[in-house]
Amino acid sequence: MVDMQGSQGGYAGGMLRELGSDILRFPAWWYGAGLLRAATYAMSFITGYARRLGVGVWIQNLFVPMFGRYDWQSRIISVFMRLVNILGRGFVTAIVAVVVLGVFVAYVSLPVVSMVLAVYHATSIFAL
Amino acid sequence: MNLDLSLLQENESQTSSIPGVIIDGTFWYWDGAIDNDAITNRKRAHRIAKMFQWFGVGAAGVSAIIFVLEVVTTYATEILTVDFWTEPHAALFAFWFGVLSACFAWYKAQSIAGERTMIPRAMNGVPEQTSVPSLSAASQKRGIFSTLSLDAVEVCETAFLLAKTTGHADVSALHLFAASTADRDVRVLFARLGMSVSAVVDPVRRKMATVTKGDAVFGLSAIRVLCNAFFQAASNSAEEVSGLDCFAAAYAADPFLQEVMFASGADQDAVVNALAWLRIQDTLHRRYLSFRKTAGFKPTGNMNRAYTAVATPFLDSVTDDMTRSAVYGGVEFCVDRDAEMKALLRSIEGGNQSVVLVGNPGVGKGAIIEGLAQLMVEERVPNILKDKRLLRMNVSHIVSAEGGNGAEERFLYALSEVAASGNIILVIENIHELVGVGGSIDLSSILAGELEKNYTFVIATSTPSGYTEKLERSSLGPKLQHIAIDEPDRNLAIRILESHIGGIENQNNVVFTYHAVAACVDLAARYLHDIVLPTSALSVAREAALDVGKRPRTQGLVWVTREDIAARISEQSKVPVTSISQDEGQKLLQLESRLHERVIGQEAAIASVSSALRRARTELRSGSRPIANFLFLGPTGVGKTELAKTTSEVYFGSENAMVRFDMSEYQNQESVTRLIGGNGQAGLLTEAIRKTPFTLLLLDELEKAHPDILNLFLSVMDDGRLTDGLGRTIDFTNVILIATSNAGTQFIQDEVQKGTDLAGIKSELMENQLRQVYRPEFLNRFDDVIVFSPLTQDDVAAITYLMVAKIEERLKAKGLTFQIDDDAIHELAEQGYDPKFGARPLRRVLQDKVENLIADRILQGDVGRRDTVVYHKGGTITVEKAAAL
Repeated sequence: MVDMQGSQGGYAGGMLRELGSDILRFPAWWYGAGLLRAATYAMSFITGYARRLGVGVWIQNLFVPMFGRYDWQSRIISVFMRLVNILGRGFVTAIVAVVVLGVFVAYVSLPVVSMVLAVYHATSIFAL
Repeated sequence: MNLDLSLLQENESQTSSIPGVIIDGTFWYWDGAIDNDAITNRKRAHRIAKMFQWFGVGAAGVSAIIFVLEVVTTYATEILTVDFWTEPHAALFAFWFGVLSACFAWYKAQSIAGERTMIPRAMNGVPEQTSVPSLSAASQKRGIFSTLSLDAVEVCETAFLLAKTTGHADVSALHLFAASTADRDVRVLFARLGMSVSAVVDPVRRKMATVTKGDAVFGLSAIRVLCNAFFQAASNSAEEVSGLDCFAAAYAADPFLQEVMFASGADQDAVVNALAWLRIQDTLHRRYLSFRKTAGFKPTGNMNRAYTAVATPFLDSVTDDMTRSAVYGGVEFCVDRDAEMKALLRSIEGGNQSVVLVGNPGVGKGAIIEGLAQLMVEERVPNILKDKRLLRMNVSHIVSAEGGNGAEERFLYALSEVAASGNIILVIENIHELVGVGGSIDLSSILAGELEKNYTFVIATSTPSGYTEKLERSSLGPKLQHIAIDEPDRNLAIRILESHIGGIENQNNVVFTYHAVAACVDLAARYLHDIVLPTSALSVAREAALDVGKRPRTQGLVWVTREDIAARISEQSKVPVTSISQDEGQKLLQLESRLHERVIGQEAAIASVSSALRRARTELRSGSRPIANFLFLGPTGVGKTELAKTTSEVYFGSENAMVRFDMSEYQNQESVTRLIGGNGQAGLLTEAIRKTPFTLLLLDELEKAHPDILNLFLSVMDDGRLTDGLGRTIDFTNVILIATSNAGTQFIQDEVQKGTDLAGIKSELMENQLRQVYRPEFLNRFDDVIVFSPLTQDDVAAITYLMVAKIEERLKAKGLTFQIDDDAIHELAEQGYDPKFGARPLRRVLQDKVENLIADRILQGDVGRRDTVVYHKGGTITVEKAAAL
């Protein structure tokens, strides 16, 4: 927004100043604070999903027998089962991460792409 | 919540310094501009920014419509081809321009919202109000203005405009206070306090008339108030400074405003607690949102996240899963129990130690454990509690199954499941009940043995008596770390109650005033003694809300007021605590004449009793002693017991409403047990007062009681309570204690005959005569020792009139009329007068001379309904037959 404390002009002047300010601030915010926020949100979504699936807990307890069975046969089965789970859950987490990353890339590219394509297609209006 | 008046006053002297608040080493100072230009520019800039935002939304919308129309009308078949998306044309220009506009609108919305800065949480220590000589003295500094909510900015601007229009030189707390009364939250605060805004604003406006005139400046005094508002918001972990914070800071800054609120019925405690109430609601909402976000990660079944646990079918049948219940929202948030929670977590973390929370029933032990369950759901606990289930064991399910046989096996089996599972923390409520239960082996010993193996630990609760009498001496006692849970003080209890009121209001569709909430705590603490705060106050609030919720609704909101709470307490405790009606006030003022309707003479005694009752009803008496302690002295038959009975009838509704003990029946030491109980038996005295705490306690012939009993009454008269043989504290603060005694009777009679005045007799009695019977400290506990003077012949004649009137009433009930003339009454009075026995012989004379004769005539069939029985001087009776119908 324009300087709120020193401006003396009327609405027209204010709007011009706002426009000028936004032309600079829009991309600056999008690739600055906005990008940081989007990255944080994407990271927390992926880590939250991983936490929900408990991938970290399964890795931490890789050699801890499941269901309180401490005999050697159960230990072997347990390690195997945990590996399968870690792979499966890791795979799901990876898929989610790829999708979220795609959305993030879309966020990053959206203003530039839309601007470039809008200009590109605008040429068709002049061609008409 | 902290209204630190001293800091504000301290800052008064530092006029040249810059006030501010330090949070984690950063100095927060006022950086806002509040003047005409700034206000105009800010508003204009905000409108323009909003306009641009809506322009972006509009452009995106229009572009989307154009694109859809173009596609439908022109490119319906080509939209799925690659050529459509690669070749330039107008529809795609609209599409991409729309996307760009949407991006711009998003940026604008975030940008407007992002202008506000969140107040950071103090991580090291607490926020501190301070001042610096100049801003350059602060190495790290930030401005407060961006932390103000739009409502708070509005308050500042309105305050400035108010000062400007009224021509005041300086914007002060008065202006900020007046401006903040328009804030929505402040209006809610006033409604909760049962106050009208105009009642407060009018005196403030009058006060403003005295303020120095000049060009309005948003100067140091206003800045100090806003720094205090910021300090309060930061201290309460709020994200921004609200209009409510501005109100609170203005209120704290000016003693005049405190006086105005006080005059409208809200003292400082009330304002602070009501402010805390509004903030608690906000905090609870934020906590709920954060809790729901994390609760999804907590497993609700038997299995932990690491899949190391095993099924625990038996344990599941004898326990409630508290963590699962917390995930599903089955427990309420625990408020203001941080100290106890820290002590609990410290004990557990310190050494894998089992703990026992010791406190009276209702003190909130269960709420603390439920709070722990919530923390475990959020995993905001030490590692030892992470990924664990909190199971509350129902001991009675283990003990009572199969007729009580095999309790040890079942208990051991449950503990073996705990050991096998490895993800279970047991909660055992009233753990002292395990001591002495079981067959050959005590259940507490079994648990002590298992705890020694260190595979788990328990969180237990107990009562102080249960802990000292059973647990401490058992083998289990040393295994448990003792954490005392004290009854919360008044303000804490009010805040705890405030945190639960929202739920009660929603359930019953009612709204509580602050005074109703405070009354729940005050009256429950004073009149309900079986449970302690905060549970006692909570149950009163729930019951009152239920009562009020059932009332027919004439308007949208139904308020629960102090009177509703008082009515509920009165019904429960049988103590009148509602406001005194005009009718009752008149009755209290005329108590003397009403007592004199039954008691003749004895002016001093009646005056003392009447004054005590008036003091009690207007709440001017001490709340920690009985309403009054009286010792009535005098010969037999002068009206001591009669006055007690009359008091009971006039004040408690019936002469049978009193509790009467003839102390001649309690002359030996064993009598103490009969009175206060013991060996599992309740006492006669303590049980009677426990059931009817608002009563008259009459102790006849006190001098005959055993000296140990007199010692018991020392504590009753001094502290207003007595502990019975079962360990319960019985409240005597709503009792009028009247003891009658014949000690010194002969002396009184002799002195009256000599013509000594009553004051002289009393003085001699107190100094010499009574000391032979009662200890001086015992006599000093009485509020008044009242000497009843022997009755004169005239007194007995007046009593004869009263007793004859009673005979008349009894005959009237049988359909008979009774007539007697004055001469006959005086003759009866003369026959019934005996200076030694007062009015006692009179009753016998009336029985012999009047009632017996009438009874004979009735039995002979001489007297029928509607007839008149006439008693003549000389002791004869005639019957005047009624006219035939």
